Amino acid sequence: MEYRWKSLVFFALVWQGAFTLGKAQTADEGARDLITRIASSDKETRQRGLEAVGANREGRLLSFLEAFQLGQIYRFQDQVVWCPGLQTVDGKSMAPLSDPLTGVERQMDGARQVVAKSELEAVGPRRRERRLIMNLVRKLQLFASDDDVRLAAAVKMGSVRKTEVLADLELALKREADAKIQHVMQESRSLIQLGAPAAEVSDEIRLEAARNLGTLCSARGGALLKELLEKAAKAEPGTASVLSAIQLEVYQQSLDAIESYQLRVRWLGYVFSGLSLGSVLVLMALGLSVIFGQMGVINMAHGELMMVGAYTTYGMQWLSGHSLPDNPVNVYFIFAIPAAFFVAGCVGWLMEFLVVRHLYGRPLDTLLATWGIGLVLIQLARVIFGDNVGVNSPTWLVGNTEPMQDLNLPYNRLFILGLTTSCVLAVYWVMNYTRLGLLVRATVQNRETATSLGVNTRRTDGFTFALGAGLAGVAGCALTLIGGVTPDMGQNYIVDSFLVVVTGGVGELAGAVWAGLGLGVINKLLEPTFEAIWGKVLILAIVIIFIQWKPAGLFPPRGRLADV
Amino acid sequence: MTGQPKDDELEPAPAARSRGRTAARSSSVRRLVTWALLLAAAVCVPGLYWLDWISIETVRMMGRYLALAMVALSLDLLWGYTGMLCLCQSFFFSLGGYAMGMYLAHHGGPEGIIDKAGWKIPACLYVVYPYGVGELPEDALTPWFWKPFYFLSATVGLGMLIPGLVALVIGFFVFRSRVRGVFFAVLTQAITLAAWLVFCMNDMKLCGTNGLTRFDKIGGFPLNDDATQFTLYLITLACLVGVYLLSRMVVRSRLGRVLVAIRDNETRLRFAGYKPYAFKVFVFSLSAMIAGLAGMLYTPQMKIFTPTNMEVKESIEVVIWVAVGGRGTLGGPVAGALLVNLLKNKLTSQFALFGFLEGWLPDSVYAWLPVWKQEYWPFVLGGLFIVVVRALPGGLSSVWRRLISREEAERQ
Amino acid sequence: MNQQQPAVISPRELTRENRLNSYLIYLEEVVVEFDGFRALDIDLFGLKFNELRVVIGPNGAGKTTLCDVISGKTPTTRGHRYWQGNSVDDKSDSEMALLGVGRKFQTPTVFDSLTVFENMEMALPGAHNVWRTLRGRMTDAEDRRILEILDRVNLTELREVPSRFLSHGQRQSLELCMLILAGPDLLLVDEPAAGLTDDETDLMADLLLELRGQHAILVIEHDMEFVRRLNAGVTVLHEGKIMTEGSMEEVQQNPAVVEAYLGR
Repeated sequence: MEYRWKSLVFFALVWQGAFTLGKAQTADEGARDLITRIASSDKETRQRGLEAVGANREGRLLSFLEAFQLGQIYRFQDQVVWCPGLQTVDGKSMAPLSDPLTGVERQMDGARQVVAKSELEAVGPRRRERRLIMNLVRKLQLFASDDDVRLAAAVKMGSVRKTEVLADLELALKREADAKIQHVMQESRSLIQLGAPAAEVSDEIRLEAARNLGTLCSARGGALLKELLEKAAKAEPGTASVLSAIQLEVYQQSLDAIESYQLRVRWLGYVFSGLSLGSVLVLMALGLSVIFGQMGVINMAHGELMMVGAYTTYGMQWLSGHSLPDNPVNVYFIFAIPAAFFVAGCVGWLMEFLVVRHLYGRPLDTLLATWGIGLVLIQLARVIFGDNVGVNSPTWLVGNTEPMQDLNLPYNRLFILGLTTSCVLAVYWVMNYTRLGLLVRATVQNRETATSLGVNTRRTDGFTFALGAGLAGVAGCALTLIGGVTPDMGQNYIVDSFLVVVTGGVGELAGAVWAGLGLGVINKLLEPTFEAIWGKVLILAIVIIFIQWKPAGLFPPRGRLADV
Repeated sequence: MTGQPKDDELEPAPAARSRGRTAARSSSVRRLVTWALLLAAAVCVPGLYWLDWISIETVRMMGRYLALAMVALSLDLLWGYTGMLCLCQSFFFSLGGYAMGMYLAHHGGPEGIIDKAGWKIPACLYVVYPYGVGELPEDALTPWFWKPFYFLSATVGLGMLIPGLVALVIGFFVFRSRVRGVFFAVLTQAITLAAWLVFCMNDMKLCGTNGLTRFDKIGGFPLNDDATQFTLYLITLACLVGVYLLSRMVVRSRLGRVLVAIRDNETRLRFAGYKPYAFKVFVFSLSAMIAGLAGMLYTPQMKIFTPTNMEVKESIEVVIWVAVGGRGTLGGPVAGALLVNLLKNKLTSQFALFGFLEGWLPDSVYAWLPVWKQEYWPFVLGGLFIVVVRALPGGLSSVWRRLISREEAERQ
Repeated sequence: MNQQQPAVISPRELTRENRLNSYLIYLEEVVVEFDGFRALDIDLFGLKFNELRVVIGPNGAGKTTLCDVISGKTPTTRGHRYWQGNSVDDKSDSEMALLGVGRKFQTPTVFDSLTVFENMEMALPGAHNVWRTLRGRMTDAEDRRILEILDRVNLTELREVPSRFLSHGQRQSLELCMLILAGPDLLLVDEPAAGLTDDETDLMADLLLELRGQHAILVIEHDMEFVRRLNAGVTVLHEGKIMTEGSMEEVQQNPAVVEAYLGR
């Protein structure tokens, strides 16, 4: 069975390989001809070859030229070959060969073709040609087949601002199909035009460029406009930096447009990162709040349960053999979430069984005992795992999306937001639509009555504690996406999540959610204005003032039960 | 309501001198123990030092532990009697510690760093001075808030006044909104954390994470002198006795019974016409001042004061001293602080668990025996929390009390 | 003991001026709502100086809420409270206590860690500020008074015992003793007979009757026999509203009351 599979795959590969090879050969003949000409020993031929590449903007020759520049191109038996790196075998220098155009490894008798270095004839650029090739490479990058190379080249041109590339930029813009790269190319073109001296670019074009940058809402354009306006304000009359009245007006208008847009984007960014921080806090506070609501105790080891979740994720990664960052086995993360929930839940259940239930009715003592447990857990992790282990995010969570120009939302943060949402919904469902939830609510309302009605409140307590602990574990799993895994990682979030519980009120899911998101957003909104530490102090002050106004939190218990 | 164990592990109430009651017999025995403890500190340590059996380093260490015992007493007033678990104690302690540290820094370190206003810049500040953009070393100025601490008398006053005032402000807001129980613990924890972060900032001109160092003289006497250190020990001891007597006066007055009533049932107390709020603010401030005093005594005996003394976990360690010794008693926390700290001193060093067997066993066997390592200490501390809270909520003094009552029962 | 059946004067029969002057506590158009649920909706309610009044009503009628409102524990949603003719709308619970409202809770609440004697000490009248309590010394007169009151309810022997060791009935008595010692103008007594033995119930009734004439007393009670013994004016609460007021006989003959409460 296995054999058949393997042979099938093999055939598919061979067939596909033959097909691509054939197709490439017919299409690439012109390019190969150019390569042969550039690699020729005749100076004239080389010169004309290089000129032809420049004229045709032959983007496929980019990697060849780069290799040529590095001296990795050789002639071997009348063929031009590329040798990316030499190897030493038995004291002899050996060269593995690749195709100069496609970079595909050359095969010989079913293995990679390797020849002795002595059999190769080196063809490098002459000193005079180096400069030419360098400029050519820079130009060709705009026409490369790789999107990322084109994008990077376009961005770079806007930063370096050389007027001689304008023509290429225009041409590349016409050929470009990708909207984002088009946008960057337009931006770069306008930047070059705007920054160019008056002798090279006319005033009308510069004005147009300034307007264009305003429409594009370009951040770099804003910086340039600001610089020009500042220069003009300081400039002596008669120098080149002085701007005409119409220029001043248009520049200022564009600058205003850009700045207002960038400000909006920045605030959106703050709100997003606030929501993202808030969602972590909600995830933490959710578990705390569930436990607090049920038993009236604060679990000081909650941060450590989170740490247990994070180490479980690390353990899953290790189990899946995902040892190196460049070995992306992504499945482990899918299993890590339930595993973290389960392991942290088990630890929580054990805590409840061994310690917490014996301290019923003594919330302060429970607080101390759980703190002791947390201390032991931290030290255990330190002894077992050492101080710092790395968890590699799954590859599908690396990178970011850009829903608006200049607003980057990392995938991992979005994922945590989604995870928090589903956890909140799941807890809501458990509490309101399951039998366990009914038992929990009954116990919260009146423990004695619930007991007398046959509810095993002890077991309910155990379940609730395990549920809260499991949620902390999920939070720990999520945190591996945005930070390192250390034994005391829980301490960084625990105080903030306590504040969330204090602000949100007791045992109300909505309270934890609103308070968590609110504190997260306020925190991030304060951070740019104040330093991070003063932001934290301010948050604390806000919370203390808030509880003056609403002593029982956002969603206080009402009626006769309220004893505030 | 206040999270106190309801069994009789706890001290029922401060033994009070009052008419209409018979004197509790066991309380006199118990008081004897406390006094014996203090007497041991007053007689044994100096005696052994004079006999040259212990070094001045040990005396210094004991002096520090006596200062920490004061912090334990201050927490006991809040937690043991009033039922408010406060995690601010390390903050108040550090306020006092910083006050004294600033005084010592003024009079310590190398000479010759004089700012434009003619003040000598403390060496520890000069090293980490947060220069603004374009500021040169000669632009460094002694900050205004350092200046009062040049004088010992002002330092001693401010070192207690500042914690007291800070506690007053915190208490005003926190108790006004009737924050109680675990919420109070959590809020005070957050306050301590925030204060620690602020004191760690270099821009605060409080020497950042480096802390206050380079101490030299206190009141004109060289700090490295054995006689100075020994005197400091005696002063600390006297202060501890004073704080003990003050606390005893407080808890035996009617105010002490109001505090216990707050612990038992604050709501009921309000209906009896009391304002628990005022009492809580009072005892909170008092306790902060005691902690500040302890900090001031601790610093010259430690010869350095860094923000690590302010960390939340330091506050929680104070709680374990009180819990081990027995909350709701006055002798308990003192004994607990001394015991746990001596234990910590031993267990944060590496030693062979069966060192006494060395030479008796073949070397190959001896090498197999376990060695105690510093990293095991958190297990002991965490374990202490769990065990004391679960099995011994009254702490060691409840064990002692039970022993006494058994003896008395046998005698009768 | 067998006094003339007191006539309950309904506030409606008086002018507003008169009401303010003649009532110790007087509630006017008081409404208390919890999340939209109207727990109490009282048009007019007044209690004269030294009057003994019993409030009865089925469960959930708002009896305890009425106590909460008078003692300042629960803020009113609408309406006004007057104490000796002065508005006390913004007074908190401890301020009301200092004005002279004493309260005995439904479940006896005493300070568990304090001894019986110390509990009594807490209730001594006088200034209750920090300094006074720190310097406070007990006078012989106070000492005697405490022992006297404890003696009346047979708690003298137990005066050194922490109150958490007391039985339910002893705690009820102790709490009442504390109220008596504090000597408030108005005593709010919430279900004093609940959970007591017959002997203890008798003792409780005797105590309340002894206090009659010294304080205004508002008793909330379920036990009809107990209410009859008190021989006092009765206010019937039903669904947060005052259904009727009058003597026990009048109330019992009211068909609406029978329907709502006694008939069940």
